[in-house]
Amino acid sequence: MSYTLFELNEFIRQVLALNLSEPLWIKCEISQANISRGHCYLNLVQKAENGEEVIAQSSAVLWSLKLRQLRNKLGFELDTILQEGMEVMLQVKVDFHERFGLKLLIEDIDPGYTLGQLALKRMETISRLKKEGLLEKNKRFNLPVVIQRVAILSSESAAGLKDFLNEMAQNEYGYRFQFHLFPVAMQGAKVSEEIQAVLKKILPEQFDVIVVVRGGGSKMDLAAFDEFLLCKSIALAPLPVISGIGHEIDETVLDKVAHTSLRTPTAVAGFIIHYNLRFESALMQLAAELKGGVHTILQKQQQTVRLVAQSTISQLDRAMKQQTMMLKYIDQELPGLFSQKLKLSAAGLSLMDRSIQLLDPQQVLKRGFTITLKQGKMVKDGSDLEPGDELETVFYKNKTRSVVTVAPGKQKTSNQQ
Amino acid sequence: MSKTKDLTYEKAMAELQGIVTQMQEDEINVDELSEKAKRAAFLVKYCQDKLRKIEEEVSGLFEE
Repeated sequence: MSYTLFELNEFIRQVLALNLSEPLWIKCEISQANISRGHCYLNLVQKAENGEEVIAQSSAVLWSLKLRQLRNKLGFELDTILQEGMEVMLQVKVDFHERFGLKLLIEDIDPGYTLGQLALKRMETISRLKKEGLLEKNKRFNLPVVIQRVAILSSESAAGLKDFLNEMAQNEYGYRFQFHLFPVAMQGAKVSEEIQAVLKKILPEQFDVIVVVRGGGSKMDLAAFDEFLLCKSIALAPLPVISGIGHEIDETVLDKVAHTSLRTPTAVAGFIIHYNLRFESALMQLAAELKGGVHTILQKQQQTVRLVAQSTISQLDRAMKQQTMMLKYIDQELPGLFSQKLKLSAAGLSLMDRSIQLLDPQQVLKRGFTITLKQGKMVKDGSDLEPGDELETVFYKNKTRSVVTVAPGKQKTSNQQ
Repeated sequence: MSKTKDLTYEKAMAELQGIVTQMQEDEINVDELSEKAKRAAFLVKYCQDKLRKIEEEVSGLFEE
């Protein structure tokens, strides 16, 4: 006995419908996702543990009606979940069609499971980065004193990019920047691959920093930035990386490995502008100190000149005063000294005069003394006289003549005997 | 003293700091003062100008 193909497939459908009549929850990974005419067609896989080998595979579909319902329930997160590489928990109804074969019809999605898987993956990434010494690797860079040449990793369509560029261009200090956009996907499965490729192209001597910016997104939307290879390439980037990938609460792993992490692109712009402002402030501070220094030195110099001038003047002044005093002294004291000296001399002279007067023979004669002369010569010794010698005796007034009768010499002789 | 051509923000800042320190430590005499002050003013202006303009030489750098 034989069956037709249709009979076989109809039989399979009936068996499946009987045994799997109720929807059930399955765990799998999305390997492909396409939206077509409002329906979302997915390829679901399961990989071997610790491997890439696919051990199970099925196609699934999310009909447009269900898609709309789920979008209302989950919002933007739905788009993030329905992406290549996502670990998902789906409620499916097994459907078998005689012509189109087996298909899983998606009834519901558990976002919590995906979030949990992402958190797990994130933790794994962090511990692996830590183990490989990559977590602090990009932080080893010192930012240059001024940030002016900026390599931007972003998507041309990213809302955050526009915010960033506007904020930078409109800074109130008039700072100018050089930008170069390296376009990369900022969401989806290509993020990691594209960022890795672009980072290899950036020449460190042409830029001061690398900035990674994008607008806000859901928690799952940011999952790409928790990916190990992406984070590794950021850690090993040739320049300091500043991130602003628009998240409200949780940091991504990229934020952890980046040199500096900020919440939004606008915040990144603010950071860079203020970073440069700090430099300029320090510059102005130095300029002010310099101005003060110059002023001080000039003042000191002026003071020195003034001091020298003052001391010179005062020295001259002192010298002149001394001279004046000397002259005054001479002027005042000298006449007195002279007259004193003169007086003393006069006194001496009158004394001498009197002594001389006392010795005057006339004065002696006046007092009754006489002078005896023999042949015109003064007789001072009587023993020189002989009897018969003619003597002349001079008085104060008048004179007389006499003859020696007794020789005083004899007496003198007898006296001598 | 570095030439203008090789002058970077870092070098300009370091040189300025050097001049200020010299000045504060009384290592600059009046004869040098004018020259140093001129150099310092130049460095400040150089940095301030550079912050506000893009070097032309880099403009053609990104042709791919």
